[in-house]
Amino acid sequence: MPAPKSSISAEIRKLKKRDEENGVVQEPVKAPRLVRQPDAEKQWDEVREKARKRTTPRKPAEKFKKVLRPDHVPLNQEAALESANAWFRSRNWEPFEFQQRVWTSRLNGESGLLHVPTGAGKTYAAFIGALIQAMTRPAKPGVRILYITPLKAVSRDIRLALEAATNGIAPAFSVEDRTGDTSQAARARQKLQSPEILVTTPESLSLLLTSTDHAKTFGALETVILDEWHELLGNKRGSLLELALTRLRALRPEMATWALTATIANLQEAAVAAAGEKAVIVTADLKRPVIIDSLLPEKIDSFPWAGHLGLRMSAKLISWLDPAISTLVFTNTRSQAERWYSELLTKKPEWAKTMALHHGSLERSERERVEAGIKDGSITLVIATSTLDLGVDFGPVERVVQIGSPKGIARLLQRAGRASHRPGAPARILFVPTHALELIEIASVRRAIAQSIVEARRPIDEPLDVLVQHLVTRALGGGFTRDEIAKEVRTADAYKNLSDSDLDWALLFITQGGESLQAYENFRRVVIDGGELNGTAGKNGIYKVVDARIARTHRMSIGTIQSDASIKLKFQRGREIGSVDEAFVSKLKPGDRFLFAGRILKFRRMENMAAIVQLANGAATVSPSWAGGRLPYSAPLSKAVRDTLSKYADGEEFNDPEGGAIEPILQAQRRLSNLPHEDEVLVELARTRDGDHMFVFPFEGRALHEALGAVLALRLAKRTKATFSISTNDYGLELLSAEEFHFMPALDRDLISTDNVEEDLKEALNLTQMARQKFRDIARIAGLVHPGHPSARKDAKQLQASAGLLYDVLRRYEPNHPLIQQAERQAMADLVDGERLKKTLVWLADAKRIINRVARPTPLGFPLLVERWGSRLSTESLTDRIERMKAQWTKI
Amino acid sequence: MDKNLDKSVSSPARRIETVTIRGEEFDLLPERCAFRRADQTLLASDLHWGKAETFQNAGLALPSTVIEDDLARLSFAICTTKAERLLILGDLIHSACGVTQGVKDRVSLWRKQHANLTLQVIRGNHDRQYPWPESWNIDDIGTELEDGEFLFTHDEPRSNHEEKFVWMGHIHPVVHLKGGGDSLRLPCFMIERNLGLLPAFSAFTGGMSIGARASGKRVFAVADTSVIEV
Repeated sequence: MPAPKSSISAEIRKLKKRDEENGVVQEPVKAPRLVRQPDAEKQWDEVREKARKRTTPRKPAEKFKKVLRPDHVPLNQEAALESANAWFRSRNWEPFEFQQRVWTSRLNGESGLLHVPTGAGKTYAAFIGALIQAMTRPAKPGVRILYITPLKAVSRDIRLALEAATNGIAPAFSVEDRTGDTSQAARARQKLQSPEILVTTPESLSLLLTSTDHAKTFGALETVILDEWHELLGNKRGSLLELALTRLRALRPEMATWALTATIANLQEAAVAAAGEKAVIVTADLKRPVIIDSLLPEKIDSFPWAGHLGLRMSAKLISWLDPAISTLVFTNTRSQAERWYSELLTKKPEWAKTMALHHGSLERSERERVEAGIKDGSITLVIATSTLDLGVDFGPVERVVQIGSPKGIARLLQRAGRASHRPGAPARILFVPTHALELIEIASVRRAIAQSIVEARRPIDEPLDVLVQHLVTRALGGGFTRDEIAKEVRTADAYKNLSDSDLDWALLFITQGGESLQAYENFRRVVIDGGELNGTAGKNGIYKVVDARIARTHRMSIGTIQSDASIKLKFQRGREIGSVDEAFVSKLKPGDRFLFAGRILKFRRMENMAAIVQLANGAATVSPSWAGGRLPYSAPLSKAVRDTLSKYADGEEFNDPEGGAIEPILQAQRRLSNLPHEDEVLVELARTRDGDHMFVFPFEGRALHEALGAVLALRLAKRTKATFSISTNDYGLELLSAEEFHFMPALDRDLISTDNVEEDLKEALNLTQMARQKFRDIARIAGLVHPGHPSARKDAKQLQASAGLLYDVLRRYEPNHPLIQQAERQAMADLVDGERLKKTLVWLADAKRIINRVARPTPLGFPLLVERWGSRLSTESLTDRIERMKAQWTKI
Repeated sequence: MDKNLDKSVSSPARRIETVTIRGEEFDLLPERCAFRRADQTLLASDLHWGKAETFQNAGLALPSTVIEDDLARLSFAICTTKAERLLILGDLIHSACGVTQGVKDRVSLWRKQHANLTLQVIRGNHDRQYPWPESWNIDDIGTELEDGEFLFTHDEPRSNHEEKFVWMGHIHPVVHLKGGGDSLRLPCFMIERNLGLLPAFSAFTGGMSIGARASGKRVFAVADTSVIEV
């Protein structure tokens, strides 16, 4: 058929238009440079000015009220202690024993970690200890106490709490906060006169260190308090903070560090990471009992064996909920929260005014509105995700509900603890199962809590990208010599074993871009002043940033550690309502409707890196996705579930409250197959019209099952030519071969050998693809991509490249690039814990195998059948793949 | 972990496609360039030399070795086709500040290896004004080249072209392929009734996706060492 005649310009316009309509977000094609006439230039300026005015409404200048404070007169320890005690008396409080212990410890110059249940008063334990100590010190300008919180949103509340104590105890001191939201005026004021007590976040602390006068700001620092340390411990923000602390310790060697943490299994490790080898650990025996109730389905027979939304239980939950009682309802994912919110709104429209939604993708102002509403009692029912796990206490909250598996013991404890803290009253949480097997899970959580089993938070080991960022920060903030920095960064627990070669590579990376000087001829970031530029700096060479543009770019890129590639959602008029994943937006077509913030939104188009939407009627046609939607399943929980099943297999009475409801399922499982003991692994084989299935149930969580499934499939496919579909959930995995495949004879020891497991894993999992994704934040943190900031000038256009593209380039031309290697390590560690996989293989090899041929899917196997086929393992070439796809199209 | 789990082992066997346009044969090569048989001319577009150096200049550490692959691929295409002329359809360089002495020297060296080759360059939006180094021995064409039935340009042609077949670059076309739970994104050639798009020659470029399988439009994906019509 001859094509309709069309002009090329029209064709290109069509191409561009279609691309825009599809909302495809990718590297922009370089547009021809506009030849601007003087008039056009002027017009352009006007347009820009208008746009600027529209988007940034002028805020009324914050008036600085000069608070008259008495001069600081150093007190002796007794007098300082007495003024703290007097303040407690004035409020009719009595300091807890653990609080006094921390005070004494701080006065003795010790550092440590404080672990008491949420709401027991750990803030005042650490803070007042630091305050008393600071009162005994002579007057000197600068910050005395630095209070670091991982949550920017609560910094204001924390400041108010600290201010109350400070005004009562040490009125000479002022308290201020410093976060990304702090106004320019306040920043300037803080620069002139530092408050004695500063509340900030890890990122803002790093930013403060980029200033050359940070040595002055922190020259009188006595104590650093790390709030919610467990939240930072296992991630890169924690590493960044550890590095920032090394700088503070270098400035103030006698400074004390106190970390506050919720319940974790590895307190000792957490204490050392925060405060060094000599850290003391203070815990208080203030156990708050936790009571877990389950909302049981009326009839377990009709309750689904699989699923994840749990909407079937909505009627029951609604009759339990009481609009007069302040309640938090926790879900595991943002999309689940959205669905539940809209479900409750449909069934109980009269609750609309007092009900709200809270998750990380909503605009901050909306979240703040909800939080304020909880506090003043105007909002009594909130559907939330983990965004409300932490933060200051919401006084009025009396009830907590968890929908679906909490996936970890600590998470359930944390959420249960969000309910009101009447002294001595237990923390109570209502569990709503989304499918039948979750009842076993919750019974297991209850047993684990009774045995004080909880997860550990492992610190991560010397991420190089964070080191690179810190080095540039230090080069900006006055510079350093190699010997100085080597000594300094190694005082961080995470970097104590940092090798010379890694450090030197990082220094090379920031000064000349990489190992071969010729390859980075034009590179400028950090220069060496007074040393040789060629490779190693002279002993006295100072690493510095001199280029203002690079300084600006670096400051912009600090604090991007936690943000993922998300796209703002905006109404036509410009109001922002939140954000969704880039990957989700790129699949949207104009007219697609989705549920967001409890409303149906229609996607219209992409505009300046934002998705323009409008309110719409009708049902959603797509559901938004957010990265990190899946919570990892914890190892202690997996063990607890196995123990529970084992007890049931032994015929133990079902004395769990869920027992009666679980029993019919367990009986069905037993009748059709088996219940595994803890030293047994259950394998089920089935043949259906889909093909031959093998189900294996290690109960180790989805991530591990994905890895295990891929390794098993690869090993089987290597022996006999085959293609497998692999599907996984938190309980087990399924391999399906569409062609006849005899699993039974293949189940030998070689199949689950730990030999070459890492190589097999790399081969089976397409590690490159996963590392490529990991590289996104590595590139951002290490400053390999230009931080695209909405306010950044457009001159950055020539510098745009996606992290994926950089990954491909570096992997090809510098395969030994340490950041590429880090991406691979991270992909392995984050997505599939190699050690845990080995342990599972060893366990599989030792365990007694129960292999059952089943006629139809069992309660354990069924959920795996309904999972979409997650992945495939085959041995086709790229061209084969294209040909196969083409074959598919012709079928349609 | 869906499609990312898909594991493939590629089998390298070079495969080219030949299309006939206005009675002339053009070979579409997996080296991301086209060969016009009639006058033994190799057509390539969007090489973006000096892109890594532009990044370096802004403090982003990208290795200059990127250009080695481009030059090697270009040399391979020149040698296998025995091309006498190389016509660049714009954006030979990424930015003036990226063309460092090192880049100049490297390209000069490469140019010496193909001293008999005529190198003609149409200017693109990235090199509209750039003064070509003497040692590159470039025949500067300006913004367009008309040749019989054909018009060669970087982006939208300025002159009257209604009757001509236009070969252009600029777009960096890529095609998304999907099917059977699998998906791929590959650079591609796109041929229509009176328009031919070349893929970006440089591997260090993103791309703009063009829809596949529309009537009157032929799309040829570049997959490793093969060009495949999709």
